[in-house]
Amino acid sequence: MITASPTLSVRDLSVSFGATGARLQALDRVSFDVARGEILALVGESGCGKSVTMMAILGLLPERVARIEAQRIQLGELDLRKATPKALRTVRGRRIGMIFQDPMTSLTPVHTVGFQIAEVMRAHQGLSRRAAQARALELLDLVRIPDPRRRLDAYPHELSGGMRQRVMIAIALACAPELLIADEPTTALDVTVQAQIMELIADLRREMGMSVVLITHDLGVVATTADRVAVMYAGRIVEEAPVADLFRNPSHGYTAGLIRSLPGGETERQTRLAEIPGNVPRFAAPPNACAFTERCAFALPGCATTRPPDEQISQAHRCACFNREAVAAALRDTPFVRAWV
Amino acid sequence: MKPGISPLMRVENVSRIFPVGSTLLGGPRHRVRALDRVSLDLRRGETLGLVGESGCGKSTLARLMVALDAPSEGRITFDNAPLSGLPAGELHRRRRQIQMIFQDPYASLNPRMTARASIAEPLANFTGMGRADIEARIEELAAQVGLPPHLLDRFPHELSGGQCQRVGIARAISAGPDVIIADEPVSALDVSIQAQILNLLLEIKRRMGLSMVFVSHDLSVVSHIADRVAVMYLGRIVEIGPTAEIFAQPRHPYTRMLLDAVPHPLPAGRGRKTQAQGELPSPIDPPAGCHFRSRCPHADASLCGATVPPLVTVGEAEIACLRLDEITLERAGV
Repeated sequence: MITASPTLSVRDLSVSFGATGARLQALDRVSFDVARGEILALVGESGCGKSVTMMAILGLLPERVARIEAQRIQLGELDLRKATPKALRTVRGRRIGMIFQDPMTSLTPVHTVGFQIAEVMRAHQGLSRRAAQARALELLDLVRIPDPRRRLDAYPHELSGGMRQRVMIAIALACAPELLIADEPTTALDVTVQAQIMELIADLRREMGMSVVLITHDLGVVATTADRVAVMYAGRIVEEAPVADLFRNPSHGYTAGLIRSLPGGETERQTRLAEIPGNVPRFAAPPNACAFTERCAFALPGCATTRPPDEQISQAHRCACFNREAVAAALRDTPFVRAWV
Repeated sequence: MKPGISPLMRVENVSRIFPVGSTLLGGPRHRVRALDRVSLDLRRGETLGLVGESGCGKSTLARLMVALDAPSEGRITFDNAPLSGLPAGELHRRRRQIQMIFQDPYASLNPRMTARASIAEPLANFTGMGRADIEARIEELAAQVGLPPHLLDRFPHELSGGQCQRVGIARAISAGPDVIIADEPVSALDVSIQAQILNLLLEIKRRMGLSMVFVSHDLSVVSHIADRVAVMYLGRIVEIGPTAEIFAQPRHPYTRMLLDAVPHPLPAGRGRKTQAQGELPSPIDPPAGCHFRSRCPHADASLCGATVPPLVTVGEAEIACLRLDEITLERAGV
């Protein structure tokens, strides 16, 4: 865990849904920090809570149905738990930028991209129309859009998917936020465009010194772009470490399962992949168990009756797994882990 | 092609042209060549991977190969008999032999039919089995695709994505096809489920002696499952050959750019600069000559703009690049 004051610090964040009666636990005591200038990847499958985590931090969950509890949600000096809706509106867009999976539905079709970028700065920074347009041009240049002057007047439908995602990044960066949240930013894009967008995000993080939370399900994207990674399963962070530490010493049964099931890696072509049996859980873990027990190749009898506590494997590596030594030992001699040692 | 054994399916000079937009008089404003004189063979018992970025024509080709759509030019044959222009009865018989697995397992099932009814449909349609036989066969198919029998009476919304895809696979294999055309069959699934479905496809293919066309944008999945790979770019095949060879030694500049862009979970990938340049040009107005030349680091405007590069055999692969010799020499450091 990083001690020099982090950009974002979250402790014991729990979220449950449901108006009355049975409540659905979506997040269960999630804790993490994002250091200044760091890219933290949140990895997990659909329904694991990665997006809910970010929505809770941004104050975007409907108050009527979502109950949010947390020891701490701290953005710099600001306590986001106590922030008023008005204050949160200032935080979003100004101090925290966001980009989403589908750039087409995140942009409005009826305004030019120049207008949409300028709008953010006029709302948050009170820039004049002219000043905001000038800054929008700089931003399009910053996100490496060719011929930016002409693109200012383009509508989203006139741009390719990759260009639209660059526009989304320009909007997110318009107020030079300290934190960028990128929710599956390249899932809808082709692989050559994905490579360019991920490189752009990594470059901009360096140039602007901002922190990034990258939500993804792709371990390849994690390996090439992130500094640290938190693996989520059924509403909990099950393992967290710097990328190289995690891949060198994967210690949770779920992390191990994900690594071993990767196609195109160590499994010989056209032979059986080591699959993770069962289904992705639709609901969060029972409180007194590890949620992955049923699907885990390393499960012990205690896993179904006791929640494994977070334990530090090393200073920067924590994991909630009763059988973590056996997991790490089983993967130690795989070509995947050896490549990272 | 190896002499002696004829391919199971053969695609010869196939183009598919779509009209786009309309003029005042109602005619099409543009024509897009989604496929531009594509030729390839599907050999008996092989899995052929089709890869490329969106708009490269891989799904269009898949649809033509299941006869869901007909070529504008050229022809496709199955077992030496043409696939298009068939009378209805004949087409029905062909459909039994060529089945498709779709990308979105929810959307490709009827939401108002249980898994059991969905699997029964092709059996009733193609096999002429009696009711009791169909019931028995459904249970058998469910076992084959790893669907627990108690899930047979559920509707798609009561099943997970992986379970729906198992139903889709059971439907596809129910009437005993010779060929399966799988269009992005694991792309919509969670990562922990992908390996299950890939294992299942490998298993049924082996057990039933099927031939398979596997369309995917995910190169690591294709490298695992395919015997041969065809790399497509804007409606044309730019490189085709054995999977191991293409992945170990990609020769076409586009194949190299594509493979280079894949983020591998390996330390070597960290902080590396991508070679990928630009984006796909508009398919309405692709560059003349070689379609890839606008993004190609080796393009020679006068040469590559003048001629459509033909596929040339190198070893066991075929590559469509006019500057292949120079590029190979350059890379060898000569």
